[in-house]
Amino acid sequence: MSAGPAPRGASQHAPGTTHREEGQQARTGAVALSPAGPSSPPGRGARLTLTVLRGSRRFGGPVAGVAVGVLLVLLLQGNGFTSTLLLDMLVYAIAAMSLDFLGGYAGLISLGQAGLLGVSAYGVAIAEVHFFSPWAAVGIGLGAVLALGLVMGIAAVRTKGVSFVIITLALGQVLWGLAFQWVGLSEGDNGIPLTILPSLGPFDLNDPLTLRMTVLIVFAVVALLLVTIVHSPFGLSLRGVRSNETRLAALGYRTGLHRYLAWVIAVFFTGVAGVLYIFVNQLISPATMAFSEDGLLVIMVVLGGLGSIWGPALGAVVIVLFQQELSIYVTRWQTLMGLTLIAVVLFSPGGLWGVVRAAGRRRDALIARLEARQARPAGPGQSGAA
Amino acid sequence: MTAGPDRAGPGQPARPGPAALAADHLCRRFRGLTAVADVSLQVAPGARFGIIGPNGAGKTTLFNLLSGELRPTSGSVALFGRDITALRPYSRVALGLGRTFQITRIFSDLTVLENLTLALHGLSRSKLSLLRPWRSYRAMTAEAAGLAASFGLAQRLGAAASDLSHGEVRELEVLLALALKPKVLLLDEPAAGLSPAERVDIQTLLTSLPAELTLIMIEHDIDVLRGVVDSVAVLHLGALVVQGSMRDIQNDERVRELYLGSSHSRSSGIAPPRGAGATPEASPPTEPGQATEASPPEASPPEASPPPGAASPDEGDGP
Repeated sequence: MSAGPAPRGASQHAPGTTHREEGQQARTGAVALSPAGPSSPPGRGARLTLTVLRGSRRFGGPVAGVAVGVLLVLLLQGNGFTSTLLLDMLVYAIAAMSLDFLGGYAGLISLGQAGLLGVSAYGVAIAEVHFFSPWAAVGIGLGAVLALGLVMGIAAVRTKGVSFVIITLALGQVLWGLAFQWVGLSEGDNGIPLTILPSLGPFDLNDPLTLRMTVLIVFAVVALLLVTIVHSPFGLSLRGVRSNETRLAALGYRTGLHRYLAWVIAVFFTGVAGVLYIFVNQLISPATMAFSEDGLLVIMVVLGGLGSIWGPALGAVVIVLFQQELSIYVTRWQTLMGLTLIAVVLFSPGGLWGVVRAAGRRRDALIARLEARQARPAGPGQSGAA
Repeated sequence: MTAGPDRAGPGQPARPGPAALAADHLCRRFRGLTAVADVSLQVAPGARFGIIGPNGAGKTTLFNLLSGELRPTSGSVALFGRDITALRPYSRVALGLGRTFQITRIFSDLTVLENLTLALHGLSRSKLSLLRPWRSYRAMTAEAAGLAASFGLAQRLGAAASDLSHGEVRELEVLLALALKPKVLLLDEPAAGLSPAERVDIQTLLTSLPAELTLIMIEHDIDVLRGVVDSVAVLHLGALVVQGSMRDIQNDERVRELYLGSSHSRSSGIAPPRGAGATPEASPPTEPGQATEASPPEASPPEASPPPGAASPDEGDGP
């Protein structure tokens, strides 16, 4: 299949079958499809390829998204291990995407995200222990993390680079220390169980299926919001902050404000992940906020691809798989995880999503080549495809 | 003192209204080292003003004081009569003060189009818009494309800024500043590191700027200024040594000493070497008379001029 490989990776899903047929047609008919054959004349096969490639450029992303969504809805119907695993992935994907929003766009890598995730989870649990209604508890959890983000942001965004990493690391450790040692509030190492989830009429999160679908919907909303934001002028300004902050200030941007807003947005969405975390696990303990969890979140982002939003979601899928599935069969799963990370960083600096992007670029280059060939007057070998 | 009879244009009445940009007794010390010493100058609206000086003369530090990257140790800066000494760089930009950097500062991770769009959003409220794609701001992207085309970057809109040639990068640097439609533009060695041909391109670009724009330009090399600016101030060891029209400067003994060293024979009547594409007779873009004046510093410059490049650490990248 000479024509297939390059476009396949990019289009991923639905157009795949068309490609295969296409490839066969190319082999039986002319060699025109081979991207390496610049001298071959344009035939019907080439025109068809071009149409398919253009289609995949235009609709590939949405089609892949809908396909993954449908697949997730189907997989989440069951009560089994798969559902538990997927929920874990979705929750951590939200946290990883918000960390990527901060790190990959504004250039602020935070090592305190697990601590912030814990704050909203503890907020919900503690509020319920103190007899607040489940909905009020959700409000208190999100309010707590947002307030903390607003206050901490004032200090955090005054620093950049390594200093920012250290400040957020310190913040995360303080939060973990509080959860661990403030036994009167947090029950210490035992953690706090959550027994009743919010419900509103027929919409009852205590029903496992409703909960699973809610997590999926929240994930989709957060992902789309983040993708929208990174493509807005504000998102562009964050990339400018990361690329050259002094220059951005000389263009009239109040760069500190932009970094602050990015931080608050990321903290809030991490808080959303925390609320879902306690809904799914129905227990929050200091272990969730430990330093190793901060590290895992950063690994998810780097493995998936810094600065791509979807990549870190993919990274979360892989890491949770390693953690929960591979660990059943392999005792030294962490060694394998480390080796995987090294391999990805070495061979695809853009992470897993970098592979997808590279495939997209190859496809665009192929489209450009085919277009250029069609623009030329058709050669005498036209009959080849027929 | 800062006001005074118009030296550059004899016979012309002093222009009414405040100067476009005025520095008043600006000083900046870095741990005992005085990088800018009591500099006072006034640049009239629409002027083309050059600042030259050997390496380490404090040119970039002076620029950083004017644009707000650095705070002065003492003294003040005024833009169209308004004291802006306490304002941060982004606030000065909003008042119409743009600048470029000697060490090129573009957004190398972004494409040319993204670079220019970012600049165009700089003074608009839309820079904080979260939910609308930046590509959907058609007016902005069209303007960005127009800017790029005005400078021969039209074919490079989609290219990553890190892939541009050095000359293209310098052009983009100037375009970023122009995108904000500044009233006063500070150019920090726009021709640094360019080939002779690229220098001519930059000079062409600079002479084609709108006449109402006030241009203040640092240059290490006097040839680049020729034909672009109509008056020049010479900075040495942080102090203004002399200031006047281009021709005056070229014939000034002290300037020649600064550039050629004190051992240079005083009898020699040769003007400093000429640039590739410029002639000294080339008419400046604006009338010389409307331009500028700067007061010679109260503190007289040191008599013994050490060889160029002797002194301060401030040149180049600000903090």
